[in-house]
Amino acid sequence: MKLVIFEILKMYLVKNFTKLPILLLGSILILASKSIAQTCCSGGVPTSANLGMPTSAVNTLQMSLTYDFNKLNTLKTGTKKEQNAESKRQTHTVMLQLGYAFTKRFSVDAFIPYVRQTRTSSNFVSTSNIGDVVVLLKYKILSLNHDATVLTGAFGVKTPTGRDDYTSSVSGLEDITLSADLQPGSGAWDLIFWEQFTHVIGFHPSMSFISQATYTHRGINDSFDNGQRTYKFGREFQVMAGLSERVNVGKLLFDGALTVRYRKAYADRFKINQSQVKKFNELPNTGGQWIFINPSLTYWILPDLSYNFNITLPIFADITGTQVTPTYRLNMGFFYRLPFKKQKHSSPDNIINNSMQ
Amino acid sequence: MKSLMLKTSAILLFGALLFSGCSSSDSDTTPGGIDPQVNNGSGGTTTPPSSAAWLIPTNCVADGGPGKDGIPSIDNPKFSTDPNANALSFLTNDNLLVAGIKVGSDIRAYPYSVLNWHEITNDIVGNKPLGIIYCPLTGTVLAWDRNVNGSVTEFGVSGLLFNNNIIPYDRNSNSNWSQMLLKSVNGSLKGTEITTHPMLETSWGTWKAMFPGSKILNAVTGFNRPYGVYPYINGAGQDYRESPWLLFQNCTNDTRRPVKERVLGITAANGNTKVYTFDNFPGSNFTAIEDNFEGEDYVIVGSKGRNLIVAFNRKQPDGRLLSFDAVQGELPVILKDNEGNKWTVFGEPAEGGSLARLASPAISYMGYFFAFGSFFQNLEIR
Repeated sequence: MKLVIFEILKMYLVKNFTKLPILLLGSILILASKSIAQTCCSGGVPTSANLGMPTSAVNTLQMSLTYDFNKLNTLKTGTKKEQNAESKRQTHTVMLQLGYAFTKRFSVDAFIPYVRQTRTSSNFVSTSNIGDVVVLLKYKILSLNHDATVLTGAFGVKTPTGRDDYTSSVSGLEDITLSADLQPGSGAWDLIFWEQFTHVIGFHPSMSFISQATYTHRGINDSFDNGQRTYKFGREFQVMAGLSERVNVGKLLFDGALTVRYRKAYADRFKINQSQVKKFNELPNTGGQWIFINPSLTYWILPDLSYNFNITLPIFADITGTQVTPTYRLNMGFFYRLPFKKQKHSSPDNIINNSMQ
Repeated sequence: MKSLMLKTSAILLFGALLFSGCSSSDSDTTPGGIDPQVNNGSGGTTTPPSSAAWLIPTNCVADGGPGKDGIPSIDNPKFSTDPNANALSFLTNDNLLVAGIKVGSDIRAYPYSVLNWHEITNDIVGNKPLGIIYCPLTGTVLAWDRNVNGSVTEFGVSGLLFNNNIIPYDRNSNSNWSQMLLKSVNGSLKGTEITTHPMLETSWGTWKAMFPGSKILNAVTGFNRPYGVYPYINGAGQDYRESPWLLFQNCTNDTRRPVKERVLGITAANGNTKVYTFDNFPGSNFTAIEDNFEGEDYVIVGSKGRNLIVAFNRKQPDGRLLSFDAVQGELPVILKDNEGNKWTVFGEPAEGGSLARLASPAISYMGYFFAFGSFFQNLEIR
């Protein structure tokens, strides 16, 4: 069914190229209306915000190694900032992403995070381990003008490879299981739907437009808290759109980008396994919606090697109840492309995508 | 070019180093300390502590999420005496609950609207250093003597819960305590019992009517919190106080009464506990009932309409056993004994004189039914 829709979409796009932005917005709205919602207070392994390697040529292996720092130090009720929180959260993540294009249309990405979650209040608690690994199967639905316009869709799974049973690192409290949002893993299988649209601006070829939408359907961890609780993180929808500009400074090559990201997270749900209340209930003070702005700079060290630095700042947050919410996020890392067949370097779109990571 | 590569590598390496820094892994005579009569829900057998470090089974201890002092205690409380003061503007409804205390002539109330966000208030009432310990998840409030082992301490919120009930910690020894067990359950003071001072729980409307000039804990707490907002309503609009769900696992569940029904619990010296529901005290008039529990004679007086239940021992220090009737329309006077004396909600003689204050039960406080059911085996219900 989806393929039929995509084929119709493709035909329409070819005939109505100038209407692309309207069409894209429409597709985003359709996705948004289908989504239901994740919680903030989870320090937040930044999986969704980092998914998706750039489009690449066939038989090309792409790799990125990035470090991501997510600081949650702001206490909010709804849209109102209370003050800096007594309990501060940080997530440090080293992410290895591998992508390989088997054909012109099919590629696969793997996302392997190593996560460190910390909570600082009157004592300090941390966990660190491999997080949940994500595998994404991507299909290039539409490619026009030698990849100047590309629409890619993907389906993936997040596997419960991360530990979800860490106990406190505080002396004397070693027997106490830490809360779900401090665990490196979720203990559940998630389904991920992802789409990306890139388009080189015709009248200004060094500039490109990009958008992404991600929907994560959360699975259930039925043995959290030593089997006492069943826990389900809230579903999540994210959409991002922005522009990228390539700039030459002498012999140096840079890609600058500015994107805006909307994130809607639904409340976490839970039930107590021995309780007479058998249905899931929403956990208070979880869920909400955020808008972030994300400036980014990529420096091309070599034609197939780049370094990227970007910062994510919340410009709007409307959260459920009172929560510790993101203050800022830093992300930096290398991207490397290894072609197994000789090919042309650096098509505009893949540079665009990389700069938007 | 190479130097740039080196710089960028250094930045990434710095990130990795940051990462690698982590490791994986007046009549305050109430005796304190109750043995944990918790069980595993499979028939009432007592579960031994699962760790030598704890007096309670750690599988029923939960990390609430905010961490130690993530919910900040109020250590410099401020009070207003005018009920219409701006600093009390969060008291928008006469049905909101407050906890009240009287030490000597010092009468204070602690609105749950504030306690919901702080749980603990370190205060001095009538020259007594007291910790007002409130748990929003079990609906229980107790005044703890902060004089522990000969020195005055402060209590803070550990961020841990046992059977959904707050685990305070004391800042002198860093030991963890159980509010409802009234003893330290972890740390260097493990096993040490706490002394409590009688408190009552009622509605803001009833309190105002009883003690119009009393001191009310106000919003000048040193923290910026939305005191007019109840923090345990979920995104679906379900209010924890009125919903059957709990946030964390209990060691045992007692299903004989509604989970969040507010009851008065009386715990005898041997730890056995009996709860009294508002069904015994219908309407707006006060009703007094006399009861014998674990060899002690009590009078329990309450009014559902006034949102108040309190209990006292009937036996006087000289051995006389008094009989009581409820008094109407004379708040804070609620009882009259068979000798013609009238008594207030704090068990004090209404007309002063040389009469001693009525003794309170060993331990009595209001709370949600499930809390008493999860802490006390063989719980009696009236």
